[in-house]
Amino acid sequence: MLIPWNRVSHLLDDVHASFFSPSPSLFLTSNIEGLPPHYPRWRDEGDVASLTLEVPGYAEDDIVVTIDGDQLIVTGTVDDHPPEGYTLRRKERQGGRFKHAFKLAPQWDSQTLRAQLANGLLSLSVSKAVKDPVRRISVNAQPQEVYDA
Amino acid sequence: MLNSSKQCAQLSGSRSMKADFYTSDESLMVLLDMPGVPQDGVNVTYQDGRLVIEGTGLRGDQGTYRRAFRVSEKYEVNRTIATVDHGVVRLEIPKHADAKAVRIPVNTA
Repeated sequence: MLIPWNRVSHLLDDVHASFFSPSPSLFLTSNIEGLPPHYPRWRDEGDVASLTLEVPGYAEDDIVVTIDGDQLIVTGTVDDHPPEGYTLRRKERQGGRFKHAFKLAPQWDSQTLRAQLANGLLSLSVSKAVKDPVRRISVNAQPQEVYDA
Repeated sequence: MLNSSKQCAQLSGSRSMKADFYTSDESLMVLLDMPGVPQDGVNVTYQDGRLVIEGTGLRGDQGTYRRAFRVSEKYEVNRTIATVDHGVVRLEIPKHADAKAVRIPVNTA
């Protein structure tokens, strides 16, 4: 059976979306540059949530996290050249530059975002946006117009 | 240098990590990605001509890593220097002294 390429392409998009979105209801992500991060994990703990990305070999100064509206952008740059005096024989690790964008759902407050790097794992934590408390609006009677007949 | 057909050995439940291999006149260098594994979670052993690198992450859901590869006899595996930096294990395996390239001076006749 032949499947038209545009259908295959849509299927690939679905695979792409499911791979990149650790939690589809919370993050929609796209890969702007470089290979995607490995094993993005979303951990929802009620009032706080965290997204973990595997970035082995990248130091604190190699990673930049920015917020632009509801977009969370993570950029990494690392020198991927062979160490001095060495010749590359086999390459499997991802290196160089990557740039990923994640869309933060409105229930999360981007102002509370914190980033932490430990042992090649980048953890981004975010708190839930504080909702305005429910307010009761008093209903006032319109003053009756009095006609003096 | 390496026996690539037997390079990757994986146990069930463990992840095989990505590696880069470099050589110089003096040594073999291997870089292995092991995100989430601290220094004391890395274990390197050498048995029956195979160098085995294993790692255990701090969190249970990160699982364990394992990779094994053969190293040529021209390298002195028991002098391997292993370091861990930002989730990358770096192994430097020096060549035996008699396996190092020797420069022969060329004199005029």
